Amino acid sequence: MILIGFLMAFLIVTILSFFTGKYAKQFSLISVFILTVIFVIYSFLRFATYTGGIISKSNILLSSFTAKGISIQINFSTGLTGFTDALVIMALMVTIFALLIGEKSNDDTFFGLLISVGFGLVGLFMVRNFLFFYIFWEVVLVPMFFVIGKYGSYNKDKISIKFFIYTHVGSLFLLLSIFTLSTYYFIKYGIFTFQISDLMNLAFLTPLPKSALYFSFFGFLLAFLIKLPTFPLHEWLPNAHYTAPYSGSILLSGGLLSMGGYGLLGILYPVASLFPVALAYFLIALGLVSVVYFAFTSMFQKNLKRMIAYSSAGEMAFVTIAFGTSLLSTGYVRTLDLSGGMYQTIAHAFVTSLAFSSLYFIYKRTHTIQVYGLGGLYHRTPVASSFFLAALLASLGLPTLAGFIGEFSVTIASYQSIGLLTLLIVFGLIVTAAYFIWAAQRSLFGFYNESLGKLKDLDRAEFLILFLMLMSSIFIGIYPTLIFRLLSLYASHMGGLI
Amino acid sequence: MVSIYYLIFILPLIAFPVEYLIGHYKRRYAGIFSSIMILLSLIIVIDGYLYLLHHAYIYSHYTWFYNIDFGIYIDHLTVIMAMMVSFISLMINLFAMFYMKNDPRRNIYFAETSLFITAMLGLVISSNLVLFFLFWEIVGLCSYLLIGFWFFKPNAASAAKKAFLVTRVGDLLFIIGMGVLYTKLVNIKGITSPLSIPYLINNAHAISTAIGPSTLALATLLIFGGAVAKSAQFPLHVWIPDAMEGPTTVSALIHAATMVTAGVYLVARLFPLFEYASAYSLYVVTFIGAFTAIYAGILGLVMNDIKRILAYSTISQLGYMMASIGIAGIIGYSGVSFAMYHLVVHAVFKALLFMAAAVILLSLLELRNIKDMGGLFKKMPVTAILMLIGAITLAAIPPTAGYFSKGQIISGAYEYYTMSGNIIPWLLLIFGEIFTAAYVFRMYFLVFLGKPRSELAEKAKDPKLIYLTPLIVLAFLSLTLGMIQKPFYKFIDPSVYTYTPPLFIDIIPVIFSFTGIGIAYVIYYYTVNNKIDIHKNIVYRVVKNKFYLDTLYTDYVAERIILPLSYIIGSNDRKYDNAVDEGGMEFSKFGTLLRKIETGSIEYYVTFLIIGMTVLFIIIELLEVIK
Repeated sequence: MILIGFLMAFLIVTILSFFTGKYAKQFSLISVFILTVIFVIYSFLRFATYTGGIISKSNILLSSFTAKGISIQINFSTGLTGFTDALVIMALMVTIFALLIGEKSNDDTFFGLLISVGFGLVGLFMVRNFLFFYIFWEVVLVPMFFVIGKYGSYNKDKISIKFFIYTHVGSLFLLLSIFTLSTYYFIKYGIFTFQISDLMNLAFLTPLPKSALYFSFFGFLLAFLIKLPTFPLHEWLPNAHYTAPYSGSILLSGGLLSMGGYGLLGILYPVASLFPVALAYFLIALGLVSVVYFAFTSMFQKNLKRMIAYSSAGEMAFVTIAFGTSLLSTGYVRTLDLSGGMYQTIAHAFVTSLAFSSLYFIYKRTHTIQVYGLGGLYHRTPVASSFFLAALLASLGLPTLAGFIGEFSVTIASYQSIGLLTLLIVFGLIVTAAYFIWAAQRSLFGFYNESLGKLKDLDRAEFLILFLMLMSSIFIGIYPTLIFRLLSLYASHMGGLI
Repeated sequence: MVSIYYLIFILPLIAFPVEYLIGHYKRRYAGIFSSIMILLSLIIVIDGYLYLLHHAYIYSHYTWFYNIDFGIYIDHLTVIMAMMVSFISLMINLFAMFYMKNDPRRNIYFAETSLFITAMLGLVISSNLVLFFLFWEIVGLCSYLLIGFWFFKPNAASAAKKAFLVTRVGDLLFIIGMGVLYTKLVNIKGITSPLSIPYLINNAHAISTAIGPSTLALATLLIFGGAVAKSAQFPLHVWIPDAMEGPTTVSALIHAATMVTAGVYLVARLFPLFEYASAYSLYVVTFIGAFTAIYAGILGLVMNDIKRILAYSTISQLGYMMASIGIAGIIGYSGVSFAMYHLVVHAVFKALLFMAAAVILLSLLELRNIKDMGGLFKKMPVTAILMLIGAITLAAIPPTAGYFSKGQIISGAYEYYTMSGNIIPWLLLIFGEIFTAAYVFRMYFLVFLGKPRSELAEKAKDPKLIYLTPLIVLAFLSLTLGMIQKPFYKFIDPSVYTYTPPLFIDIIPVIFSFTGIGIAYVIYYYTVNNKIDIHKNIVYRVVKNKFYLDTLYTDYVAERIILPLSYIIGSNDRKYDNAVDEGGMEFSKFGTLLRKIETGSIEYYVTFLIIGMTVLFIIIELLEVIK
């Protein structure tokens, strides 16, 4: 019940924040902060004795109809696993980061929309019912569309529509899959329900006709892989990032991308043992291609924001790889692989938040983020440049910063199923390191670009924001066990193909 | 209970933020705090040494994540390395307070070196390969930051980039090596932490039988790939000479004495795994080491930049250490103790040489071309003598420490020949000796003899003696460390090494060293008097261009493969993006077509509504009938 209460409180905060006028930023920050503190305390207490599976289940029957052995039930049910608990905390933190970066001059609608995205994310990770899962899926999407369309920069109308339609295609397939499964459930048991625990159930899914099963898997995969995004389905991402305001970018890569990760590892994985083996190899191939492909496309970018956008897609490719390889591996390796993929989903949000925020503060001063427009920034803004350098290093997966644990776990565990093909991952990572270090060399070091004029370094508030982000990134990087324990406990209960 | 020995790396870590802040507000006091912290850390290491005289090891560990733990593992090998690192760091840090005296960003320098020393000590004493890797990357990061310390020099920024990327290649191979070990070991019953170092080295034989020697050889070779990049062995050595763009104390600390030896240390640390893997694993180590030893020696002979000569010398000496570990596969564990002894001696004399070079460069305003120096013996006699001590130690002239450490490796290589019938390592190492003596004395003669060949060289003078104290301490050690040779070997390898090679094997290296010095004098004579012009000579040009290996990496791999690939993929991504947009436009045109149905008059809508509903009802009726 606490979770439902929490969601209600969040909903109220979200609605209120649209009407707070000029205090929008303070109000939204403080209220989300309080919610975060409450949730963190709650999960500390609740997860101290966690042993795997779903806990904190609660269920409200919203409407039910029973006649002639046929019944229709719509439930609002919530629950937490180790993975979703971490995801909720991550979503709350990312919302705070996005709010912190938000320009005060924006109106209350802007902050309201940001909070709505956060609310959608938190709801999505908490609910255990597909109907509400879908609703929250859309609750994230629609405000994001307005954030890009209304507050974006260049070419915002066209790009926001493209973003919406592109991701919405995935959502529709998701809806189709949900309906397919629940119809079959109705045919079999005479109960019309959307409960995830009922539909995503091996006992129910195994006897289904292959066509229906594969169709629904296809729908789920399409929706999740578009969100992730994986190689051929990524075109919405760089453009959306390019146009979105920086707060929006943080929520895009920190929030929307992790929805794909959650969908794959949290929703689909428990029944993935019904996948054909070829599909597992196909997904691994997609992941490997994505790592290399996004590394090369990032290297090509002249715009730092687009570069970080592509690289964030490259980081999420590890989730696809983890998903595919853990299907084929066994025992402890599978657990490490899966937990690594989950950890990557979470850590990625912190890394990109740091990257976009530090880039934002540089942009605020220089009014350009073209690599060739910058140069020698370290001369005038050493602190801001240091933070940006730290963000680049975090993105390339340097140990002690957030990205390392997940990438490391996935890379070493994937050796069991794909052998020396891990060299491809490594090749992608080398190219990644190359373009980040190259970008740092061209934008931060060397001669100062005098056309930038006189720049001021970070002021105290900006410093604190970035410091908070860097510290949370370092914390995730050097003390992983707090989260990793929950993830591995959750992951150790899941099966693979072999 | 938390072990006190964690403080070994925590103390310098405290210095990292503190130094930054102290130096930010009171610039004069920069460097003092970090020196004190390193000294305390050294004291704790010595305490650990005393403890280990009567015990086998110190081991303490906690869970880090999943079944990978973090902690410290200190045994005899470790404590030697830790003592060397903290002692040399202390000396160089003290000297840096003088060297960096006038730099406005001194606080950042000392903060970053503190972080480096933290990571280096952490690397040495860590108990798990993953933690080891974490520190391994942090030292790489610090190296990147400190090479690029003078970031405004474009050369420094690009050298830093090169260093980071080349070592990164090795690091990622190292990750796969760990992956092989982890995935093969984790599902064996009774193993709680598969990547823990004490487990790996104490059960190497069992591991080899469980996963097979060839798999183990794959893992060890991949790990060795990491060591090759970090310790600048043959194909991946290209980053060190460029790394000399950083401050000279950085070169002394990171690129001569400590960080680059981490690769050798890694192989020594995991030696049991190499030993029980298929034999070719250690053969690769031997061969790459021995080849690097002579290869870098040849390159050192044609360089004119004083720091680059020392850099190639470092690469070459690291090759000797690697080869020594490699031959240990045949001659027994003593090979590792030879390598460690040479590692310690090398750290001492190479730090000395680099700091002497730093004194010269400070006086000459960073003029690094040795052809523009000359005659400095009269101008800076103290530095000249200190450097001479470093040079004879490097050239292994008896009775310096270098003679004992390197001579032992060479006679070990001879024993390797007698036992395995393979003479190549011995030949490479012994001819490397000539080049070693030749390049270092070529440098020495050009710098110190004759007449000054530039204005700056004429004005050079010694700094105050107090600033040279760390150098004097190191010079004293280079001369006297030879005395502890036997106890040192015994401390690392209790089974005493008893092989006595034929007398000529012990004498040949000395003869070769003196030959090298003779060659160096001849080269010096001809260079100064401009007797012959060798610039057109094809051999000279090939060597001068470093056998075109750097060109291959930067001009071909980077610029002809990676960049064009990124261009092709990136521009095609743009095209793909546009194609998606156009597809969307086509789709919306289709929508415009459909709009013609929407006339806006209500009669049409009602008609469609009725037709639709009729169809629906018919379908439902039909379904009922079928049931």
